[in-house]
Amino acid sequence: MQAVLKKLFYVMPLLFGIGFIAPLIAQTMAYWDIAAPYGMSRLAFGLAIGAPWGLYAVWRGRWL
Amino acid sequence: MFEGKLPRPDSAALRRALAPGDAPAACGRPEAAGDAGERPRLRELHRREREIAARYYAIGQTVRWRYVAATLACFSLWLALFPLAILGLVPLWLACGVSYLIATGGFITAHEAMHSTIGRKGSKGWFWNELTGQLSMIPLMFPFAIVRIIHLQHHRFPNDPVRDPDYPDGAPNLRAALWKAWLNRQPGKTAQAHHIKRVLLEEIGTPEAKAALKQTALAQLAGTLFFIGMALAGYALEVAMVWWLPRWLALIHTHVFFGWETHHPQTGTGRYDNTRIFKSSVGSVLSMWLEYHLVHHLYPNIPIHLTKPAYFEMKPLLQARGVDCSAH
Repeated sequence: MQAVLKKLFYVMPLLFGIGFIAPLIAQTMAYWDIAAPYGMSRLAFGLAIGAPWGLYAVWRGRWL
Repeated sequence: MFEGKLPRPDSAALRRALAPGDAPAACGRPEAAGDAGERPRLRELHRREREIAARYYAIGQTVRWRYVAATLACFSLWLALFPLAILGLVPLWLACGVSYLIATGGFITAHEAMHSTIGRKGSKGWFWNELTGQLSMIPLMFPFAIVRIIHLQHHRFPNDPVRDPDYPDGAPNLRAALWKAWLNRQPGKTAQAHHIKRVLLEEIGTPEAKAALKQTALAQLAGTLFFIGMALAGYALEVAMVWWLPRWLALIHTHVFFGWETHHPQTGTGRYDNTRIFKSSVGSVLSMWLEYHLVHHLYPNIPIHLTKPAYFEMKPLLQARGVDCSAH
């Protein structure tokens, strides 16, 4: 249980990037009526930012 | 709900309340620090200090229900912000501001509960003390158990680099403290959580501390899953503005203005120099009266909102000891 939790917390920024930041970006764009570039959907655009950002946070240990 | 009676001056509760801080031997009895000729004078100053503290402790006991009422009202409002924001009945910026104030103020009401000023274990007020602590910490997403253990450890070893869980809040100036507060909350090596975990396991090491650590992991996991669940359900913006962002702002606020500013520059470890009397960068209200933090460390069971009048009564006694009282 403890080992599973430890691993889960290690990858949590990635999960947070995909599960929270991506939809947050998409819904913020919808709120301000901003279209995603290159014909992408807003959620795909959100994922394109949220997933690598989360991965960066896992790798660097900080979000910025 | 509460007994409403003032404690008798000889009661065990009062004696415990007026013990010299929650300090270890290093801080000791205040008069022990002086040389033999000084001791009677210091003892007399201490006696008069305790008399003032006893009075404010007693006043605090008559108004402690206010902390419970404030917690119940604020927590209900905080919960109501979710449907209100989702239904568009409250603008998101307003919900964010209100939630930030509730989360920040919640630390103060929880702080009273940490020192059991609302009700001691075994008393009628204990249930309300624990309820106040638990509900107040939910917007900050921390179980009350861990915050209480951490805070009482901080009182025992203020400014001790190894044993004080709040030591990583230290920074040379306000700008650095704001940066540090953010850095300390990052997921990697810079996280204050590593220092706190070590203090809990190695310095405290009680079963309660270990259990509190597990509770914290589960609470943080549950909170994060709630954020993700709400976001996937289409309410990312609402949950971000009602909980996620205000929580972040409140965590930075509490660590900078309640943690860093009160103990800056973290040099003293003695009873009268481990904290200070200062003018807060955010003023009295937003610092929640922590400008009189020395009084709180001397007598932790005087409610925070009464530390200001208690300080002004104690001021001549503190000055007589050489405490810097120039800020107020």
